[in-house]
Amino acid sequence: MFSKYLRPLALALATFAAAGSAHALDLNGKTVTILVPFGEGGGSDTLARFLQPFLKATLPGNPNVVVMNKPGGGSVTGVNGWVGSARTDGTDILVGSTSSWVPFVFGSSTVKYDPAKMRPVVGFPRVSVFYSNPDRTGVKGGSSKDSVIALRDAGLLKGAEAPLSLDTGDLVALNMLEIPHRAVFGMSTSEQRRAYLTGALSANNDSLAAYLDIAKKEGPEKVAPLFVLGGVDGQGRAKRIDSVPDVMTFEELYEAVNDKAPSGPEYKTYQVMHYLRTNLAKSIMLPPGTPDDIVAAYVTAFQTLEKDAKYLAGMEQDLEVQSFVYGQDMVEAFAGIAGFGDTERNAVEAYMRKTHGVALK
Amino acid sequence: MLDQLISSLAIVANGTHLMMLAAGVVLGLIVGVLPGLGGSAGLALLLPFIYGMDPAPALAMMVGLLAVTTTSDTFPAVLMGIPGTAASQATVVDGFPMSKRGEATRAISAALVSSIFGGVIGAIVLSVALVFAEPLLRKIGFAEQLMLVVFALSMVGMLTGTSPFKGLASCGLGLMLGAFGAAPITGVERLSFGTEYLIDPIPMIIVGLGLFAVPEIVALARQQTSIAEAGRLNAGWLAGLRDWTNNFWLSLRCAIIGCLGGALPGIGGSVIDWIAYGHAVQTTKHPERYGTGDVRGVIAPESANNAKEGGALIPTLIFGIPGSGNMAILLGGFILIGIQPGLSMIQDNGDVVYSIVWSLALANILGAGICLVLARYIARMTTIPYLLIAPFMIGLIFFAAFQATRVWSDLIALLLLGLLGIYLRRFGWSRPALLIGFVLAPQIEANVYRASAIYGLEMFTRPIVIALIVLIALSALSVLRRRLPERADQQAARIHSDTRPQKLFFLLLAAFGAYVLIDGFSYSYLTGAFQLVAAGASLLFMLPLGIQLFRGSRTSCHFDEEGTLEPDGTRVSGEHYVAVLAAFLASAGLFGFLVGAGVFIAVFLVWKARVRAHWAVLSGAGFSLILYLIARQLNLEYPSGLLNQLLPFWP
Repeated sequence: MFSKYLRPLALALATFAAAGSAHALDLNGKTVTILVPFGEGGGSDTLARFLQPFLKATLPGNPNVVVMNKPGGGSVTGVNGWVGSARTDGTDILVGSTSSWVPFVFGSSTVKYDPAKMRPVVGFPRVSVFYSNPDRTGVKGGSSKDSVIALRDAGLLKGAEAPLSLDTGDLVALNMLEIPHRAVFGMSTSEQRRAYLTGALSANNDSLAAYLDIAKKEGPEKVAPLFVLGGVDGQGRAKRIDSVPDVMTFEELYEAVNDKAPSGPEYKTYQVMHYLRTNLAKSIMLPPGTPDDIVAAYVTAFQTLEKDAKYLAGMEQDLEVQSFVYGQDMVEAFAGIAGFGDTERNAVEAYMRKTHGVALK
Repeated sequence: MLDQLISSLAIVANGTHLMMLAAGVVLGLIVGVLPGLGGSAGLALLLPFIYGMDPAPALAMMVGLLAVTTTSDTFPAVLMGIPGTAASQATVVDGFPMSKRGEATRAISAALVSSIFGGVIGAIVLSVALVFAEPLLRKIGFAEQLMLVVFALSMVGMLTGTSPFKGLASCGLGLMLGAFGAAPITGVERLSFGTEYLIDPIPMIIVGLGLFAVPEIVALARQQTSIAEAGRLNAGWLAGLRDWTNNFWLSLRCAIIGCLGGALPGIGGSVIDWIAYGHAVQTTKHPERYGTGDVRGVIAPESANNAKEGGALIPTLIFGIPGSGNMAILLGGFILIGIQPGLSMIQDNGDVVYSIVWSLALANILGAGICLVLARYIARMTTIPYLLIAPFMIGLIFFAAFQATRVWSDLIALLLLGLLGIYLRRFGWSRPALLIGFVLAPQIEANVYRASAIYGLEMFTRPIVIALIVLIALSALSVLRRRLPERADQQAARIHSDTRPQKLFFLLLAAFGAYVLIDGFSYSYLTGAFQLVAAGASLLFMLPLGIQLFRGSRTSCHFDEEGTLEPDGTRVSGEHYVAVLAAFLASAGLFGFLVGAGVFIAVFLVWKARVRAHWAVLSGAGFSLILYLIARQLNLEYPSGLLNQLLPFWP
């Protein structure tokens, strides 16, 4: 008797399910949770809260979009939990950031995720400028062979977050340019900027916006750019920055000084840090195992947003985003950071022991 | 500057702007009252709404919120002994004993007047500093920061109580707890015991709650009276106002301490209230009265903690670099309303920046005004029998602890640190000294390393460093000059005949110190050095303490609070309430935090407070409902329990 009722019900369910997969992604009535693996405030949180209203308006079905903060472990705790529990139906997304990928690259035992297995939607690359203080070094010139030669007599004092951190890339770069240098470890980005302003440090690597601000206020007597980290293109080549066209990339500077392209494990380390600092600065990620059509729907949503002037203005001016990178290019960037292997690690350890007297064991 | 100040007044003095300011103030008052939630959580709530708003009203809302969290956090600190934010920890020490004497209204009104005054001083200093402070701030390098930290540390001497060795050993314990988590210089894990939780330092809020709130809750629940021991309120809000006028200069000095502490890097916002408190103790003829409900102990930290926000805005606005977590979010908000933080902010957006000064002053007045009106009514809760309040307080502190990193481990950490707090209190170890050590630990470690790496011995040739050394010497001298006379209840506590419990506690702490010391040798120099110094110093102070404790019988280091309690057959032991706290965790582990908190409250009310079952269930359900509403608003996910794992629909 029940089968009479059950059959149409089953049929209806089947149709419903089929319709569901045909439309790929309909988030109507659902809640999309943006996980920010940091506390409130800071870059990832600001980005997530900025995106919140735009995503609600653009994602299929206009879902409710909420931001969830899970601080701890320098973002590793939040991402670990997310990878284990995130749903693959498009309702759980992550703000990926350099802080989460650096411990992965350095093989930290606490990391339980592999960014290469996640599904990247969009990347928001940042670019940065390495500059020094002529007031302290006596070297006035900009990005040139002469400056490097002169700096070899002056030496540089730079801050770094830790011996194994994003800043390791800057230090090995100085080492390759044979500029004598010392590092003060344990300093966050904002502490480094402040210490540069008080004259305690003589070199710094800062986001383009912060560099332009400091250069404008302090003038050329206190800020001289040495090289830029302008991101890496699809062929793995370093790019310059449009708004500071005269400043060379590290690769160009190295070649100008040494008449040959940089190579070897130290350069590989610099390259990986360059990827992490620029191309992989901030991104929106879907969890491993998310079906292709859902990833595609998300990519479409973000591409649609590029037509929104308000979104573009916020991204470019306020959030320091220079361009957008989608799908396959993001996958390549993640492949790029796989270059940090045992050889590179050994080279960094040897360098840290020799130049800074720091044992990494 | 003056023309900008006046033209920005025009921005502030209009209806929309004032309404936004008031909205920010009300929200700030609410997050300030809830322990664990502070300016950061409140600001994060606002961020999605302010995108695209006009800069000035959006700023008014944000500044209004930031300005008053340290105004309303006085309520839980004074009335319940639970700091509402980290900035009101010192207020608890004398504010809460005043409540016990039935002087809650007096303490709160003195605190609120101090808050208004401190806040307005902060705004005035900010307006002047925006023009003049930049050259000075640029002279504060790591050597100066190190001296500021040493100065803050010298305040420990004021907070040690009667036994100096015990106080210094307490501070050493704090330094050791501060060494937990990845080493700040190398990033290498240390003392993490293989847990992911301890890669980060132990959260400050949990240490504060464990040391101050948990022991108070337990002590009060054991007493089984109301907080106001006589069961009624005496002394009204006018008395508090008089207290403030009588101590005007203290309030002014502490407001300036607050401004400086907020503006100068190195110390960090959460010890400013303690420095102000230490200063109050330093400058009195009767230091022995502190800790027993001296109103100066309320006025000092409350004047300082509201002035602090004005101070913290100085470097934030001048350099565009955040000086604290709150300021980082504020700058995040700047980005969303289209103001690029940075060195040119004041030139490019002068009017808007100066409107912050006005908003800050107005918000402080408005916030404290609202609190003053409410104070008389809220203070009455101190006359309610405490067993009716206790389960809610237990729920509340675990909620607060959970805000630290939002994982189960937060709750366990609170239980463990609460256990430590209970015995530190019972055996007369200085909890403020421990807290200062804890908060300053990372600053000491980082600044000693940075100053020596950058300047070496040259640092002693820097003029500001020399000036600070003189100040530290003066401060240290004033510590040495006074010896605290012993209070009657302290004598009673010493005479407690059974000294075995305090000896056992001492041995446990010494063993902990020895463990940290030995562990420290397993790391490289930059990773392990601080841990070695912290543990070594603690053990050094513990050695004479141990000799006194085990050899002498009546020396000042002997202390057991049980000796002050009159024999009473019905009083349960402190350990009994440790089990009650553990029962809360068990309930959360079974039902999940949301439901478990309600279940715990209902059972506690029936079992301990003899409330009728239906009222108890209703109260528990009400608490869970409020938790649920907060979670919806802030988008929190509470720790889940066994039933959450088994039943997918379980809330």
